[in-house]
Amino acid sequence: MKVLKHISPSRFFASVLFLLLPTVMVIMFILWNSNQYFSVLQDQWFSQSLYVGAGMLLAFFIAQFRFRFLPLFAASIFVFYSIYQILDRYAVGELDSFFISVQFLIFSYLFMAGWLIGWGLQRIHFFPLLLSGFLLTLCIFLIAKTGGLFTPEKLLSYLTPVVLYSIYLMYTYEALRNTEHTHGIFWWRFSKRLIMFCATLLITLGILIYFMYPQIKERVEAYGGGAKDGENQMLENKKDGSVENKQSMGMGTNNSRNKNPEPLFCAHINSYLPGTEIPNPLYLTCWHFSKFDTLTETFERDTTLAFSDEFTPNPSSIQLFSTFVDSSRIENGLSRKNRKTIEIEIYKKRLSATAFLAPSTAFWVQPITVEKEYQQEFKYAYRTKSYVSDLNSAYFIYNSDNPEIKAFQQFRFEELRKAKGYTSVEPDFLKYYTHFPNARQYARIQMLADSLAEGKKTTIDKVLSIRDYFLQRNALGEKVYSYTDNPGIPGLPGSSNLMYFLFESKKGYCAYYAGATLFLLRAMKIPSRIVTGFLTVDRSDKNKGWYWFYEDQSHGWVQVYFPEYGWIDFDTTVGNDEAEQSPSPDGTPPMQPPNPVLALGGEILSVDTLQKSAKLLTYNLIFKDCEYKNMHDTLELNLQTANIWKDSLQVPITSLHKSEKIMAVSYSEKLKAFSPEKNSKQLLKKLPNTLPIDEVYIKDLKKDLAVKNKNNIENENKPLSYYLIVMSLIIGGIILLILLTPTLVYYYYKTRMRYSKSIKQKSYFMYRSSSLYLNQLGIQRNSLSAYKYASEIVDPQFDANYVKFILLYLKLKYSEQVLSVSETNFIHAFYSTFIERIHKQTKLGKRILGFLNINLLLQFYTLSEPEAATN
Amino acid sequence: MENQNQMSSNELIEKLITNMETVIKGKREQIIQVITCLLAKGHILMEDNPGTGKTVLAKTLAASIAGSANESALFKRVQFTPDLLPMDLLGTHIFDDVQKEFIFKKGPLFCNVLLADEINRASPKVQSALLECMAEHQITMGEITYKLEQLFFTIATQNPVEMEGTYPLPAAQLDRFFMKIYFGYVDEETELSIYKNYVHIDSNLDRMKQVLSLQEVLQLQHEAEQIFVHDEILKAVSNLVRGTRAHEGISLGASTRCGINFIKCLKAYALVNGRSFVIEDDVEAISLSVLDHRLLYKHKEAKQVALKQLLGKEMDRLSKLKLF
Repeated sequence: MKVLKHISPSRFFASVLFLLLPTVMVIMFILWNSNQYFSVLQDQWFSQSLYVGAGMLLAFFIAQFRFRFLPLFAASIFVFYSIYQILDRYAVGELDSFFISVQFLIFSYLFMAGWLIGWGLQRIHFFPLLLSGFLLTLCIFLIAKTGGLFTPEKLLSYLTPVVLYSIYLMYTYEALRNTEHTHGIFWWRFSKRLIMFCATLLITLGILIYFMYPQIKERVEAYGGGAKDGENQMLENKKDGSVENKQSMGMGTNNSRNKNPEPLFCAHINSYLPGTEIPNPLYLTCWHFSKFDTLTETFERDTTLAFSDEFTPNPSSIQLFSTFVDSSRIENGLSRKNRKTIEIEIYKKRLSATAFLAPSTAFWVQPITVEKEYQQEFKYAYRTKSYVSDLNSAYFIYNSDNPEIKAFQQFRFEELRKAKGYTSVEPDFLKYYTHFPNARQYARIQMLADSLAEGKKTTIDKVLSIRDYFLQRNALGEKVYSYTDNPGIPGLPGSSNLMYFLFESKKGYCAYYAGATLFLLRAMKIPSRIVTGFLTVDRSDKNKGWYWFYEDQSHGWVQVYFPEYGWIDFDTTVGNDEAEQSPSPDGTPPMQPPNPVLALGGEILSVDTLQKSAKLLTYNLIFKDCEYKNMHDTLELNLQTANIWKDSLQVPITSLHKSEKIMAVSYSEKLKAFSPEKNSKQLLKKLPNTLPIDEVYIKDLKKDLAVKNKNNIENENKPLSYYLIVMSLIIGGIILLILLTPTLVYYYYKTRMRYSKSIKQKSYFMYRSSSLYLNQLGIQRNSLSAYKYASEIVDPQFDANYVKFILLYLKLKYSEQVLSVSETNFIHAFYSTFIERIHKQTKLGKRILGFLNINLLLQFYTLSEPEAATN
Repeated sequence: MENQNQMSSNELIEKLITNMETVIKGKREQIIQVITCLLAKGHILMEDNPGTGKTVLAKTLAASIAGSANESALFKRVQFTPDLLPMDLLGTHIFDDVQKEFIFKKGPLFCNVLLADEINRASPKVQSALLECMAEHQITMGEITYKLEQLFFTIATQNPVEMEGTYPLPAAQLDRFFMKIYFGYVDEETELSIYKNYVHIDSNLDRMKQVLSLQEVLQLQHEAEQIFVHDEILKAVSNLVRGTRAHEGISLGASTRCGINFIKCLKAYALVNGRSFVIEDDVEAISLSVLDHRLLYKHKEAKQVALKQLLGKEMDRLSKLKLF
């Protein structure tokens, strides 16, 4: 930094205008973003950016008078620290002191940061680079922290201001630093140039984004983002148009649902109220959210949890009719009483192939085929078994008038009142599921929970008190808490969504109710967790046990743990009165295929097309839902009544070939008489030698592999690394662009030269490209005239006849004489020989490095400034 | 045809320069500027310390030009002192005892090359008398007007040291000199070679070849007027001249006459450099010599930077011009 000889007000104002204001604006943007997610900041981004601005202004001002930085800075740190200590110790009032001291802390941090930035901008040579790097890092940090709201627009809107600002700052900073002008007219021109620069920058970026947007979007969607603004907070749309439950549950300002009237899937749940024919719908769970991130206010999955009973198989990666069992889930479910196994079949329409939904606690899954007539509508299907409590039911808030359901409700509450206390529960388990954030703002929830739990002895009564709290009506009989998909919270998300919902707005969607309920429950020391999945609604009496699921049924609710009874669903979300919820009609359920008695997976050894029989080298065998793996037995198959399928097309038996992999299925009544055995040897002994087969599915190996690979890719859903990749791609792209700029500019001139119409124009571009070329090699023209440059610098070094060319160029430029034939020929032949000559005399490495140096290019355009002439 | 002429004029000038360089060593730029002034029909003011070769340069120039009747051009030297009177320059009427009438005795002004040494030591009236003649190319004594030589070139010198008892030229007078150049010392090597050969300086001067005839000089002067000046160069001149008037560090800017002289010098300079057109380098090369002495600066700092700023801006503009 050049030390100014005297104080220059115009320079001061220029740096305030051109450096301070944009910096404060970008910092304001970052602060605004941070305020959205960090409740500590209290949503005062405007005043916070003013603090930074004040700090910068002070630094700028001080720099004018050239005060020493370090002693002043150290002194003010000391002053601020003392004030903070005093505030913290002596301020009156419990809450007040907390807020004032924190506010002051924030103020002093930001002010000091502003001062530091201002000082750096005034005094440190490479500060813009440091600053931009810092701001970009901050942005990446914010993006990583707030990953749940990830869309291409958001990514761009996060990064664009900072990237633009970085480029702007580097340009402006250099331009300001290198100028010695102080006239009014200069500043006017300077601002004009800056405006032009900014406009070019914006247009370039706009064009870039315009053309790159589909790619960016694709990239983002490939990684599971891609929801639009006003997205569905519960579901995510996948690339192939299918839908899946999100793996994080944030509380956004908007939760747009019911966009698509097409159902997602239908399910057959084989559950009825005990002792009746009345269907007992069960909520379908997908993910468990047992952790709460206080910074971002999102509920998070805890995949490392040892005692989790979350069952998350990927149905698309399991072979047809093969099973996947994890009985440790049942153990982790910690339940014994009132439990039974329930079978569910799910037929997916738009639901992602990888999605798995089942009532808790699921432990068994088997992909099955869809009957031929329904294959158009339903793409995938699986059967699953859950170890479900009798007491579980979707009927908790949605009380039915049906007396039997009412009775059931009463029965289940009575039953749960018998549950033991939590004294016998493992302390680790209890501690984990009752973890409640310590921060002071949550004390209010604790107070509310205490008041609700007052006088309630049993867990279920406490739970009911929370339900009743949300269902309470005010003196006018109006609902206090209401349902809305747009809780709004305009500009306020930072000030703790949950607090705002619970105590201020009192309206929200399921995530808010579930979140608030979880906090209240945990404040009452009741182990609980949030579960997302689908709300099951029994709409029709036609097809009992069949339920249809639409996008607007995606849901989050709470599960409460009762010792011995296990996890029971409790949904405290109040009914939606706005109710534009069109009662979507149930469709026709697919025909349920009979359960295969026997399924054999293996490789064909030989086929007898006449006898219609085949020998199969069996690898795995599923008999009555029991799977025997790692077999190596040759079995005789009777294919006389078998349908043979390949790619969902029926094919004749002749298309069965040796060493083809198949899955053979039998529904034979004969086989049903047998019961499963401990191991496959014993079972095979009992079974007839020739096994009657009804269906044979020939596996398409290639397709199988492709699906597997695709699933693998989709499974790698690592948000943070993804953001970093996208970030580094964008930053890398920008760096690449910057590095390539000199080359591009050079080729622009060269192309213009090649396609020039007149010799005058040609000589001009020849001059421009040759001087740019030399410039990038470090042979700079600076403020020399073209002729002097050629005669004093270039020709002595390269002996490339450059002077002659420059003279002809000047002749074309400044005289109206016509060039002679030899002169014209000289110009036409000049460039290639010139470049060749320089090539011979410079090293390749130097040329490449030179052309990557944007700084030289900038100097090419700026160093012929008058002020450079005096240096 | 024109091309051939051009060639010959180039040769003539090159011959003149090399010829002068046999005596004046290491001062090519100054020689070129002196010749520029000569061809622009102007006069030149040289300023530097004593003993830098100003007088020798003037002598060499005069010796290189063949005057009438195989003699070298008329060269006169006047040492300006405070007691010098105008008539010492112009000449005077003296009474002829024989003819019984006043006859005009021509002063040293009636010559081709005049060296006005230490012009700032003479009194203002002498200075103004000289400068008037330089401008008008004639002398009026009483009722009779005497024409000066067709080729009349003044080389004035002044000394920056020993300012006591001098009469610094007023700005109005300085305006009449096309250029003011600084001589400066030669570099070490040249100086050494001068010391080796100093004995020959005078003999060299005596043996100077007369490479140009008066007629040829006049022809070259005519040719210089024909040099093409692009509109953009004219604009640059105008910008420079007007810029000096508007500049905050300059109290007296350049005049329109200055601008005209500037253009004349540009043309001559281009010719001297063997070109038939003026380029931006010419502007850069001579604008300091042409403009600097005509300006009055408000303070010392301005003298250092004002013109350079203006020139730098103009050069920047010219070098970035796309003229197609």
